[in-house]
Parts: sequence; C-alpha cells; structure tokens
Amino acid sequence: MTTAAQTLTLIAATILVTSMATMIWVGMAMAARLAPRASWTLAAANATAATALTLHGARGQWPDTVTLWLADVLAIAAFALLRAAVPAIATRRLGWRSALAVLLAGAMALALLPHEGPLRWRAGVVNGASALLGLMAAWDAYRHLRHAKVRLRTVALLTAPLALIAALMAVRGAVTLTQPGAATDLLRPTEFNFAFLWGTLLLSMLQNATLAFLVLMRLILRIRHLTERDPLTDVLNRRAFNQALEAAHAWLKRGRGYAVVMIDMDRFKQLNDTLGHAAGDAALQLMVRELAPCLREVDRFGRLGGEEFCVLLPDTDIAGAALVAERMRMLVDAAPLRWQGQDWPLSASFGIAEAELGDPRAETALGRADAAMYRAKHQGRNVVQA
Amino acid sequence: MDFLDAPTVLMVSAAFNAMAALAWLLLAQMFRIAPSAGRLMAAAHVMRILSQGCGDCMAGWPGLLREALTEYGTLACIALLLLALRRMLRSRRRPRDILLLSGLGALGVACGLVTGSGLLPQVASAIAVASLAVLSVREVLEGVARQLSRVVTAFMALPFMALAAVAVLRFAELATRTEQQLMVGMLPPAWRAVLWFLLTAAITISLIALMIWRLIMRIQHLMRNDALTGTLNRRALEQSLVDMQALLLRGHGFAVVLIDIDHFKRINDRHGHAAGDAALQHAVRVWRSELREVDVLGRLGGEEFCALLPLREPADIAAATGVAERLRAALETQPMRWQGETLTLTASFGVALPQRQDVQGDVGLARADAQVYCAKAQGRNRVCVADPAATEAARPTANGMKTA
Repeated sequence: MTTAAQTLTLIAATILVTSMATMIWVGMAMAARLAPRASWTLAAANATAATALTLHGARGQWPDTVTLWLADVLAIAAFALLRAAVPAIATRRLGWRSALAVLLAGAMALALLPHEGPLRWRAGVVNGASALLGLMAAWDAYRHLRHAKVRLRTVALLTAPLALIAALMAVRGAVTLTQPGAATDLLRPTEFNFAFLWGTLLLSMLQNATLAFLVLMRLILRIRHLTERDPLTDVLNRRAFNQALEAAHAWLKRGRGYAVVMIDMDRFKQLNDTLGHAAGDAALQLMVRELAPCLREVDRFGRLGGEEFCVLLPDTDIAGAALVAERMRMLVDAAPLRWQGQDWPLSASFGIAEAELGDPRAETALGRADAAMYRAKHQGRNVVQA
Repeated sequence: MDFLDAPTVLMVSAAFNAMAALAWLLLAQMFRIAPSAGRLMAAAHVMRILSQGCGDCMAGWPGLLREALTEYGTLACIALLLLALRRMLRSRRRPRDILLLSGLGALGVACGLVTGSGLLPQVASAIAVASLAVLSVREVLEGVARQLSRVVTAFMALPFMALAAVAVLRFAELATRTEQQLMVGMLPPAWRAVLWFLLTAAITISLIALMIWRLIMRIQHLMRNDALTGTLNRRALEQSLVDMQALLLRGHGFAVVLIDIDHFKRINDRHGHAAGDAALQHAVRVWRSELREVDVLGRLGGEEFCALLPLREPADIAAATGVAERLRAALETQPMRWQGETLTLTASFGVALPQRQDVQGDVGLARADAQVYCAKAQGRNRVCVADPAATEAARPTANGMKTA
C-alpha cells in the first residue's frame, strides 16, 4: 500500500538530486570550465526541474496559478533545456530552436486550457511535450555519438537514459488520458505515481551521470590527443608514429605491405638563424598543411623531431610511394613561406623505402628511407630518392 | 519531518550508492580514470549500502548480526573512503594509521558485541569514524590547498568536516544517554537517514570534483612539459622568460643559460634514436640535481635546452657562470650507460644576462645563443659568457646616446 509520505519522500528526493546536479554542473562550468555552455544549460535544466517539482508538491497550499500553470510550464522548460544542452556537449552549439518551439507551443496550450475541474488535458500536454523533447534529445545524442564513430553498445548505453525518460513521460501521458485519477496529481499516493516517481528519481540520477560521462569523455579525448600529437604541427609525435609503424609491421607478415616516406626540410637551420625560431615554426606548419592533401585516411603522418617528418603508407609499394613523394616535393616547392612581407623558398628532401619480408623490425625500413633521404640531400636537395 | 518516510529514504540512499559504485567502476574499467581509487570508492559505496539498513527488510535477522553489520560496515566504509582519497591525491602516506584506527574501532565494537553492551559498540565506532574523518579532512587540506584557491579547498573539505562533526555529535549523544534509552538496531528516524544521505552525496560530489581536478592537472602538465624529458616545453619556457623579464623591471635579476649537447647527432646515428632519447633524459637528470627549485629548465627543441636562473644580486653574472660551470662538469663526470657501453656526454654552455631595456626575453636568449656558438667554436664542452659591459655599451639608450 502506498502512503502519502512515500510519494512525498520521493518527490523530495528527486528535488534534492536535481538540486545537487545543478550544483555539480555549475561547478563544472565555473571552476573546471568544462564545456561551459552545455554545463550551464544542464544546470539550468536541473534547477528548473527542481523548481517545477517543488511547485507541484505545493499544490493546494499555494495559489493555483503558481502551482498549476507555472509548474507545468517549468516542467516543459526543464525538458526543453535538456534538449538544448545535449547537442552542445559534442558540438558546442545549443539545439535551442526546436526546444523553444515545443516550449512555446506547450505554454500556449496550457494557457488556453482551464485549470479547474479534471486536469487530464493539461497533464497530457505537459507529458506529451516532455516526451517529445526527451526523444529529440535522445535522437541527437545517438546521432552525434554514431557520427563520432563510438561503438554501438556504448552509444546504446549512453542514450538509453534519455530514451527511457521520454518513454516514461509518454507512458504517463497515456495513463493521464486513460485513467485520470491515477496520474494527474503526483501527490496522490497511487501505485502508478509511486512507480513513476521512482522512475523519475532513478532516471534523473542516471541521465545526469551519463551526460557528465560524455563531458568527461571530452577531457579524456583531449588527454589522448595531447599524448599522441606534436603540439606545433598537430601531426603524430614520434612515440605515436612508432606505434603506428609497429602495427603496420605486424600486418606485413600477414601479406599487407607498407612503405615509408622520410621528409626533411632543406636548409632549416639557416632559416631559423636568419628569420628566427618563430619563422621556423611557421615553415614547419606550412609544410604540414601543404602535405595534408596527399594523405589518405589510412596514412599516418608523424614528426620524428626537429624538421624531420615521416609518412607511413599502408598497402603501398615503392612505385606508389615514389608518386606520393614526388607530388609532396612539388607541393612544398611551390609554396614559399611568406614572412614579414618577404617570400622565403621552401623545399624538402625525400627518402622512400618499402618494407621487405626479411625486415626484422619496423625501424629497418625506416633506416633505409633515412639513408635514401641523406642521398637526396647529397644530390643537392629538393629531390626524391629511393 | 514527519511527512518523510524513513524506509523510502533508505531505499533512495541505497539506489544512489549503488549508482555511484557503478559509476566509479565504469570509470575505472572503461576509461582507466583513477582505477585504484575508483575501485576503493565502489567498495566504500557497497559498504554504505550494507551498513545503513533498510527499514524492515532485515526484521527477522538476529539483533547481533544487524548490529555488527551496521557498525563494521560504517567503519569499513569510511576506512575505504580515506584510502581512496589518498590514492586520488597521490598521498605518500602509508595506510598504517588507517588500519590502526579502524582496527582499534573494530576491536571495541567486537568487545561490546561479545559483552552484550548496547552502548560500547556504537561508542567505539563513533570514535573511530570521527578520527578517520579528521584524518580525511587533513588529507584534503594538505593535498589540494597548495594548488587551489582557499574557497575551492574549503568546498572540497567541507563534506569531510561535516562527517567528522556528525560523528562527534553522535558520540556526544551516546555519552549523555543511559543504557535503557537505547534501542539497539532500531530503525533510524527519517531525519537521521536524510542526514546520512546528504553526507554521502556531498562526499561523492567532492570526490568527483577531485577526480576532474586531477584530469585537468594532467592536461596542464601535458601542455606545459616536454613528453620525453619532463622539462618545460618551448612554449612554457618562453612564458617563463616573459614572466621573469617582467620581474627584472622590479629589480629581480636572472640569468639565461643556453645549453647544447655536443655531437648529439653522432649518438643518434651510431646508437640509434633510443640512445639519443636516453642521453637527453640522462642529461636532464644530471642537471636537475644541480639546480635549485626556483630555477627553470626547459627544452627548446632537439638537443637544445635552456635554464633560467633567478639571481640573488641583480647583475651577478659570476654566480650564473658558476652554476653553468657546475652543470658542465656534472655532465662530463657522470657518463651514461647504454647497453653495456659507457658514453661520456658533454655540452656547450652560453650564459647571458637579460637587460631591462630588452623589449622581449628573446634578446637575452639570442645573446646566450651567440655564446653557445662561441663555445662550440672554441672546441665544445665549455662555458662562454656574454660580457655585460659589452652588451650594455653596444646598446643605444633611449635618447640615442651610448652609455659608457
């Protein structure tokens, strides 16, 4: 048997949880500056939900305009904010247009409907709008995660709370229309309300936790990026490149060859000493930018140190590597560095090598490419050597 | 608070703890964030569920068992929490004190349970919980205070302070009550359940904040430091140079020492890139032991390093030269071992004093760089010093006159 104290306790617990979540999101936005736009919006969503529930809980004690109309509008607003925040986690852009449209339509409908007598239509509007917004948020989260190539199981795990919330609101909407007595007023200790309130409480915890997870994932991806990339040119650093090379070498025995192109910018020291370190940095960045169009999705581009770069070309033989390297050489040669109004010609020497089955280690092929690159330097630079 | 239903509060609390335990485990398993601290926290949350009771679901159980579960569960929960906290803050303190305190508490609880005293187990666990909570407050204050503002530190420590306060209050309450008033294993009133729930939630938030703070610190470290040697990277070093240049205007002098390892390319070509990397790490290790904490060491790129040395006397270039000479001698006398071979490393040093008139720190850097070339030209493995009088004389002052 459900008692009034039980439903009230659950409402109070949900208010507590959403208030706590508000604090956490504010902290995330202010102290940690993590995805601030999404965090602020989620803080607002939780605060609005807490307010709506508090007002709903005060039905019969405070004036009806506040506890009915305002509470209902705030309930829809909480879902609208949630819906707006979800895309911002991934893209930094709030999905506020559709959220605002649903909110305005819901608020208009609520203003037109009477708040006396049976409240089933009002409750229907609130729950229907909330379910719609929850569904939109879940769909957005699903699309973004799939777009980011996250595994389907993880995607399902992360979007499930939002989808479940939408389902919960939809069920409530259906029940308010079919059995108005059981569901229109949350305070009434019916079995349905008890189950619904438990669902709300658990899902609000779960949904905040998963969204916080998504924000944390951004931090983790950032760390991964920082450990794998060269900060100046944003290509792989030597450690990450060596790992890619080892992986390619492991495939070699299973019949998939690879080639490497060693790239060394010509007269880099001279450039550095004449125009300064800043110009040297700019030259390296320019070269990386110029070379980018030559690379396929599967190719790996790394900086081995200083002005020395290397490209790993899977499933490529020496002839293919020569074509790529020649195209790269022409691109670098054709793009001089503009520095303080002057053009400084850039060029690079290229050494290419193909992995052979007898190579004991991945570095053997790299060594051959390096030797070829030195031959290119001796031939007067700005050439490709095999 | 009679409108609240105590068993429901306990169930809500159990659900919250279960979810928190799951979240920590997921973070530990899937993303490898704070794995050991996460597992300890998950265990602490499970202990909380076991110790908090659940209204009448254990009504048929023997009183002794219920009491033991409550007291031992609480003790285990806070001990695990403290262990997790130490892991999270990378404290070097051994867990001996935690074991001692919780062991003593457990012994007291056992004595009370065996003698059948209603009061003793609760008193013993209250004392142990209070002292463990005080330890955790100290841990947070020590671990965080140095790097975060006072307000943030206070917010992080607050839940643990509240925990200590609640434990002390409980002890006071127990001490003033008589044996007859205690109903062992009774259902806690709703307000007590709410209080504990709030405490649990606040501590969870505090720990989540600590975890995020650690992640952010990690990112900052990665952005500031060179991945290979752990010294500052060029961007961070340039920032330090700008900061020190600003201090120079307020009379705090510093010296720039530019270092270039000799024949580095030869090491790379003869012994491979791995040996080159090891050589850089070796050199940094040797120099670090010769430098003070206020000195800044950074890698400009390749085999080129830079040390910024704050000086006690603003223009005391002799002191800076002494340090550079010490760095040079240390590297020369401490050879590196590489695959059974002994490789002696040397480096060329250029020392210069930045001047107040230098528009940017780069000017001082360029002067030191010129001295490195000079050292290389003179046969390497030596320190060359820019003559302060010469740089002063070569520089026109603001009104176009040359200083004497």
